[in-house]
Amino acid sequence: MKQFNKEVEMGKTNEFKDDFLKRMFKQSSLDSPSDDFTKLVMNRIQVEAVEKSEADKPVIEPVYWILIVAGLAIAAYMLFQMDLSFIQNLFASIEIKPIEFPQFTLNFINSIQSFISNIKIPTIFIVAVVAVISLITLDKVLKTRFSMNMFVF
Amino acid sequence: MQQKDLYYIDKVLDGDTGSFTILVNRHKDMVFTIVNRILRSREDAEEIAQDVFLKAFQSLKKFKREAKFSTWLYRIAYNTAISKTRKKRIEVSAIEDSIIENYTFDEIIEELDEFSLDDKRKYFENALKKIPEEDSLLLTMFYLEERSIEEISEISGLSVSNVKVKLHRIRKKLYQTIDEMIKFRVGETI
Repeated sequence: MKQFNKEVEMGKTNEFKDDFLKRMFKQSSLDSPSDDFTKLVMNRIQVEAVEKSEADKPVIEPVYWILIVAGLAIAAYMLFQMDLSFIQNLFASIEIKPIEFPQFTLNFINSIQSFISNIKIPTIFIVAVVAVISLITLDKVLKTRFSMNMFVF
Repeated sequence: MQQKDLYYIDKVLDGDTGSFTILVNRHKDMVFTIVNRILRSREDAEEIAQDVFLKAFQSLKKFKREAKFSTWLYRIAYNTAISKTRKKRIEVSAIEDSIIENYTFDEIIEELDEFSLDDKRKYFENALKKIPEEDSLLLTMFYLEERSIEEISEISGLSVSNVKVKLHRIRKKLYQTIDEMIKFRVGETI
């Protein structure tokens, strides 16, 4: 009953009170931020957008991962004579027709093959070359990544 | 307004970040008012209001369009400002029913009618400063922004009935304050 009376009282007085307050509020205004507020917000959003797109990208692109794995596999093969026959087995089911080269081309390929077979490159040299190429690639990738984020605050 | 907001929201979601500028310009005053009235510091309010828009931008995909964009945005503003002040909820202003019992608004309005518009405004603004900032924010949303009780409930996290009771009490407190100011002034002149 008390609650009901309260609501009736609220209903009776609300209309009049609201009218006065409404008028008064309409004459006052909202607070306003500084003039460059929108600019500051948009700057922060731009930075956020750049950071987000960078964060979504993998640190090392898949193509570089392939190169690194291939380099490591070559290095492992050279160093430890690792058994890589599983790769051969992997492609065993695929039937590849031998390519028929013209006689002139065959002679040329044979001469290159005999030239290469005569060259004696120490294993350690090949490993070193692979390692250096891998390091240069990795360095390039990491430099590109970090130089892009360096100026993002 | 809501349809236009949705149009620019779609543009932003399609990758046109620049369209967010329009949304910022439309709502910055109210967002700033909410934050400023809770924090009571212009400097802090500037920074927190920026955070509010950044949060809104980051969560734009989560905006379900069930409520108005402005309601959703003001709720972020309200929550961010409240968490900044480490308050979990708006404190219920300690206005006892006994204080405002048998208060006659008609008399106060009649008294106010005798004053000029400038004086009325002066009393009103001074009285508004005397009530807790969070309470004045509820009144601002209700009268100036013409938000419904349901929307204010959604923004503030208070129940609908709680908003109604609070608005009723805050109004009474505001009138009481105005009345005291008038009496003080009259007493002074006598």
